[in-house]
Amino acid sequence: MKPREMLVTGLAACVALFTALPLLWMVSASFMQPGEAAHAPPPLLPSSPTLANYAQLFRNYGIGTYLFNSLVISTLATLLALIFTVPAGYALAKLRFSGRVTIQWMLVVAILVPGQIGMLPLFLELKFLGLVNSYAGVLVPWLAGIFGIFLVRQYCLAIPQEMIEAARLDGASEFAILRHIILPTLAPILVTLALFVFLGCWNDFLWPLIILSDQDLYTLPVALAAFSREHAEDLEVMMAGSVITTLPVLLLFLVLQRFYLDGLLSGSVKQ
Amino acid sequence: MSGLRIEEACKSFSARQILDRVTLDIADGSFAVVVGPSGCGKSTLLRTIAGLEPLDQGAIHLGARDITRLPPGQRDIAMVFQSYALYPHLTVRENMAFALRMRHEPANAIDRAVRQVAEMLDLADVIDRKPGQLSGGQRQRVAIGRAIVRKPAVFLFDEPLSNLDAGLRARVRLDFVTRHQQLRTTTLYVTHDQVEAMTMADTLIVMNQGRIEQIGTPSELYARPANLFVARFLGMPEMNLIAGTMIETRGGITNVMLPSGKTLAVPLTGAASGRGARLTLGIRPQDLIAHGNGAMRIDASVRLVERMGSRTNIHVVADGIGALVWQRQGDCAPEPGTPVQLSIDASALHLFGEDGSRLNTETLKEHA
Repeated sequence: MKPREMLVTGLAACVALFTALPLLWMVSASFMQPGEAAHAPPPLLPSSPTLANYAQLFRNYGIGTYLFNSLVISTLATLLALIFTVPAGYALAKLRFSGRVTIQWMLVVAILVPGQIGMLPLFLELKFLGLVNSYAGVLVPWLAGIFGIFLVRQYCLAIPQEMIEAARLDGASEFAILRHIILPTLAPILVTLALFVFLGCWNDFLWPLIILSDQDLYTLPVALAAFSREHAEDLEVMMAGSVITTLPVLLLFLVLQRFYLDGLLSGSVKQ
Repeated sequence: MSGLRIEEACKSFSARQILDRVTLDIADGSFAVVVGPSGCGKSTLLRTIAGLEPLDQGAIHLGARDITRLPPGQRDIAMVFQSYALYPHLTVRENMAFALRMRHEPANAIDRAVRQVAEMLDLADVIDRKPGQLSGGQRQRVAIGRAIVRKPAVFLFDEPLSNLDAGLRARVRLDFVTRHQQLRTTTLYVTHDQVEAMTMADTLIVMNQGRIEQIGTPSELYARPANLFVARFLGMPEMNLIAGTMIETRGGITNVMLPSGKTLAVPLTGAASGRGARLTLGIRPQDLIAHGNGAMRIDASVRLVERMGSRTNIHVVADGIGALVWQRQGDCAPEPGTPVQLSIDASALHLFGEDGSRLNTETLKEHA
């Protein structure tokens, strides 16, 4: 290794460690005895590791319910987002219909508006529809994200028109073309999109907080915030809760990372 | 019966007229080739027949069926694209089976049909590979196989050989003709390559600016081009064209004045133009004769020689006419600057009127 490479690698390792340290300490603290993490200076490793904090979370705080809520909502959001976003992106890229350009411009304009501005009107709308304080209410903003539509659209633009025309001549219906020709070609971008939506929905805090009032429907981030208000002194339990909130998505990301990077890169250099 | 008839087809994109009242009759089982320069509308014609572009006006009939408004999948037409447009995620087998699967044919029938076509096209060994693992020639055969396996009433080919190298192209060309003789399916083939057009077609259609310039057999079009465009488009090297003005017709001879003031006596009667009319004389490079004499004699000097082995193209500058190409059989290499005397084979002379259309030159042969 050349000195220059060593320097760069060393710097990268430092930055990585700096970023990872809080996360690692979170995991470490979740195994500490009650009160241990609050010592000054805080210890790096637990003196006698325990699972009691996790047991307490599930037994006393009912975090199982919130984990279940988060899993159900994030999975549904991902599936629904794919179902609505993919056909929309494909249609905008490849089908000719009147109003297509107008719709695209409206989407571009809409993407410029910060999401927070839309939250109150959306809340009122959902209240009118009777969807406040329900899974459905949490899911609505995820149904058709503009970012996702454009991601799919950009990728579809690279699909040769002649391939779709060949399928039409082969007698395939528009739905069959989407199902048999487009979707398999889109696989990498679908993984990327699914990850984006799942992570976004899993980590989302503000919208579930606004739309959900019933504690039994809370998602993990909302529940965790509620705990931290009530049990700020139980640092170890909070850290265990944070681990439960972070770990599933971290694992999911690591497993799908390869496809995810493929998806992000392949749009620009598709052969 | 699955002859193809196109009536008064019009198509424009925004303000640009791409097809201008195209009328065309392609007999059942024939191999028709549409040829023309880029942008002449030949690919659009193919796409409207396939149903990929709707016609603004006009009708398309396949046998007794009016297919003008039918969606592409219901027209019983298969098309091979220039880019082949294979499905990259499917194997050769699945690519060829796709149309049959869409028609919900039984799996064993599909398998049998695909295997048969794969063997016929020499693809049996690569049947489980994906398009990305195939050579250009193999991909091209898969695209053809995908069309053949459907047993359509009409094949459409959109410049299918343009992505192949020259040697392979010549082989595949022969292959196409052989295949057509076996299958006898009505075929419409679009190309801008006149060698493909001349060698493969039994009906040749020359298009220009959205219009059909002439339809006929390749030899008819070559021997009697209907207008200057066809005359120039078919034949390599291009036909020599000489501008002139008609002076008088007397005793079966028409005197034509060249721009230089020199007069050429052309054995022509019955021309539809009168005195003073502007004419264009056309003569193919191989119809110029060495050692010319008489009124049709042209004095020239050699400028450049292209030796092709079996024949030689000699570029000359003719007195009072300008640049001409003279083609001789065999290999010869006159030095640039050498003076030559040429004359025109009167029986091979083409004459075009002021509007570019062919004049009646039936009488030429009698006088030659």
